[in-house]
Amino acid sequence: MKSFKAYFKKEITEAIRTYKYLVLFFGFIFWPAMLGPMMLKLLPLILKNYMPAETMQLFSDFTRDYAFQSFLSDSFQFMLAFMAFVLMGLLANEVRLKRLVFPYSRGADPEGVVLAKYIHYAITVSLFILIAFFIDYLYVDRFFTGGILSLKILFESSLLYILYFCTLLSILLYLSSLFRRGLAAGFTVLILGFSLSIFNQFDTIKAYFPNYLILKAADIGHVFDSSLIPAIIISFCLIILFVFLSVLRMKKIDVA
Amino acid sequence: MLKRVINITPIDINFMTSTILSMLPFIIPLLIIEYGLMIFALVQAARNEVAYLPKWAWILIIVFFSIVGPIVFLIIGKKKETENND
Repeated sequence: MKSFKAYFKKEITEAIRTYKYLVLFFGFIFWPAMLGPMMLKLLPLILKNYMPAETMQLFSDFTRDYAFQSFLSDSFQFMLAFMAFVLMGLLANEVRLKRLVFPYSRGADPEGVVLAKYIHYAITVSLFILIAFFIDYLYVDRFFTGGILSLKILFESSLLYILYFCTLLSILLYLSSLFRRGLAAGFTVLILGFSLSIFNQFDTIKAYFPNYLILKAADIGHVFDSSLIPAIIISFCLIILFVFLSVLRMKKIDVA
Repeated sequence: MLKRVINITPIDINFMTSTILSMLPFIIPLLIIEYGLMIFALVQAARNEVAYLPKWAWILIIVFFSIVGPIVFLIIGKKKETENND
């Protein structure tokens, strides 16, 4: 518990010092939630005189629901890329730069170190996702009309996104303990995040993969239903499994 | 088709202007954030040691690659103290 508290505080200080919060703000909130709806609104105006009238007809039917789905698609890509590359060195850097020698020699336990890192960034990512969704709602509601989008739907979608990104974070944490260079962990999570979406094409198995959470988050009007149960259970199991594996790995690893 | 491309009427321009003006309260915060980040990154680049590229190259990247440049600099451009000691 002592290690956990100490490392939790250290992670906050480290995140401020290395501008991780700032960079995550741009990847999670600024680009997808603030710039995205604005571009969606301005794009038809800019293209109006350069495109045939028939094509422009497609742009004129943007509703709040469509704008929100567009945000979900953009935010998935932005959030995945930024999370993978900003947090790729979580454990790899600690080991590579020999930052654990002193804490371990003073009696710090690996459980505390790993849990502090995971919980700190899980809270950070969750808060950023929530803020991004609410800011996007503000913009979408101001720029577009029509559709059935409500705060309840928005909140449900954001919960699914939070669970999905917390699952990916646990995988990233484990991979970061495996590789000495964080870049390898970042790329692996990026490829994993995008490639798992392929399973959404197969109706029989898609509900068993975490990416189904992302698929359902965009299903406005039917976000929460019983089909989500397997994906939610599997995601929680994956989080526990990968955090546990990270602790095991950090116990075995030679930090000197 | 070519006629269509160059066919921008005063009504279109008025419509675009009024739409952009109505969006101004939402555009201004974005510009403030964007330029705030650029200034912050420039100050950091000027005050600290930089990694991988010369300082002048980082400054050009920060100024000419809006948002992306400052973010890339903040992630990899600043020389870390621990790396100095290696």
